[in-house]
Amino acid sequence: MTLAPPDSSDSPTTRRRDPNAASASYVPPWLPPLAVVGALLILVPLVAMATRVDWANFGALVTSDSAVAALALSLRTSLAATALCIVLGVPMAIVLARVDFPLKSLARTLVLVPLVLPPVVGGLALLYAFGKRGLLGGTLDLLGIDIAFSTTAVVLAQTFVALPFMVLTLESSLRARGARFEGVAATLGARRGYAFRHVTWPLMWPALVAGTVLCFARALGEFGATITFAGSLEGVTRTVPLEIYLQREVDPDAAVALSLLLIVIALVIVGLAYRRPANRSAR
Amino acid sequence: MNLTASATIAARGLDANITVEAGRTLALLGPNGSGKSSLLGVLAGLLRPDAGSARLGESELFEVSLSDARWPRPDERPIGLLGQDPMLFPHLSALDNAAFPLRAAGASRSDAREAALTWLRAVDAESLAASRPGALSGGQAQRVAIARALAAEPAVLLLDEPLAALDVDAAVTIRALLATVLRGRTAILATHNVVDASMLADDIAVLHDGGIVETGPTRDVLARPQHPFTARMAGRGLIPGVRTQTGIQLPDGTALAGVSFASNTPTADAAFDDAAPGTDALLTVRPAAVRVTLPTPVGPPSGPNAITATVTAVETHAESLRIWAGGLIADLDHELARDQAPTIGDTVTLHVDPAQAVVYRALPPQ
Repeated sequence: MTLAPPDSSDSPTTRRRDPNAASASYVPPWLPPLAVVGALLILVPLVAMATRVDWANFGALVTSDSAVAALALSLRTSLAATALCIVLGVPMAIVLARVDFPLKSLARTLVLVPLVLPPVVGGLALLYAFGKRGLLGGTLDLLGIDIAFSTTAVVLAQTFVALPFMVLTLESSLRARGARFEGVAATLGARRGYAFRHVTWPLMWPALVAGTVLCFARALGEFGATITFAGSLEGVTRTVPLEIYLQREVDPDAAVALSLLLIVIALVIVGLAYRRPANRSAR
Repeated sequence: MNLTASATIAARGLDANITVEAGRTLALLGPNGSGKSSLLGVLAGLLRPDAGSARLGESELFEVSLSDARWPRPDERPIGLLGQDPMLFPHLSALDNAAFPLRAAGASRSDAREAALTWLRAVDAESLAASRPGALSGGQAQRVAIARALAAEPAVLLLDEPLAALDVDAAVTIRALLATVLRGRTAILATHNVVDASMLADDIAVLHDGGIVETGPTRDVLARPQHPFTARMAGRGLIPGVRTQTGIQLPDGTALAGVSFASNTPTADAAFDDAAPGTDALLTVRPAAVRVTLPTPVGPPSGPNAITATVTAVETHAESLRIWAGGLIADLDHELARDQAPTIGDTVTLHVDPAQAVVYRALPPQ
């Protein structure tokens, strides 16, 4: 899986596509049908769900007290987790892309772990780190901080699973571009801080947007780590995915309505992320 | 301020010393991969040598040795670098690119833009001020890059093959621009192109196999090369020999008389006219002064000033065939050569016109 944003190559010349180049003629004929099968695998379940929506009561279903509480909590925690991913992910990506240090390949593997780990396992790991009887639980307890089964735990769980998306997106963009522009800035007399603010940061902006959107989407959909580490308290830790899981037993119509809402939000987010390159090359 | 520098990079086989006199441009002439860019990178602070040091006037630029390591960052050095690729910041307009070094040095936005506009005007790129780098041609972008490099007001400007990425027309205009820009400026120009070196540089240092093989004023070095590599770059024949009373004796025994003697530089060696026979000497001659004949079945070549040699390279030019043989270069007329064009490995006879041959002292290797 590659997480490079579609515009990770920064050279303006490589991004332009020659309209006369017959790129489609290089594609083997058996390949497009497989691509269609893949697209159907994604599309059919979404359509199937849309057919089950109780449209008459849709408004009432997604504005019930529990649904609104879950939506508000999901938005708050996902935004907080995304902000954390930016604050922690940008330095991680830059260090991985630009600084040589011992055991660097191990560190890069470690960053990927939350991506391949079942989220439930991630939640368990977080519990053993920050829970009351966890590794850091005692220390945090002394400081009067209780994280497990709180909204903070939701944010931590979401950050844990979303962070790799930010780091990988930024790092691949930074590595693809190399450090030549920073070298030019330095020979022009720009100190490191100035070069970071005026060269590195603006050049990594497209990748940052892509990474941010991916992080937000991943945080919004987080379920396994949240339910394990934060539980399912209405208004405190019960985010939309947890609410959907709960309602599935009690009120399937409500579950379907909320699910549709989540799908729409996801489509809007993905659309925003992948419309950017088209806008940029048109400037 | 004079710049003196030495650098060793074992991994790239570089071990070179250079000196640039204040207000002069030194061409670092060498083939691709000879270490020119590495040496510039060391001076700019982008590439750390295994060992080396550099001084700019009275002050130290860097010092890397077993006991010392003072290695300032690029932004702490008064050195500018213009590369082959303009590397304009893609998110900034041409004006803001030129204003970048001024802003980085702390100038206000309006002051920086005003000064940047002056620099753009100086390189005839004022009309491009509002353009984004993506909308500029290669030549236009290099103009803006020159303005940006100058705006930093470096004490020494390094130019790394600044014309190599440009098409022929753009190269001609940017070369002319650089000729004005470099006048009176302390600069080092790395190039593999002898035309750039002769048009832009006061002095020349020839880099071969990671070391400087000869150095001196550009015109003198190219007209009277000491090293076969320099002669090859300059497009001149070069044969070593020993001074005779009236000319030079070549290793194969051929004696050329009636040549003109010349003095070497940088030593004002006006006395080569009076040098004792037996002194190590070099013969150089332009391709136009060498005539080629194909071997006749009638034994060895005869006549004065004739040298027999094996062809080592052949190259087609617009109206002639250029051949390399025995250290000499000669141009054959296509019409004459058509039937019996020599190829690599053939034996030919080269007739040197002594009136156009120059003989001078062979200096000990540097």
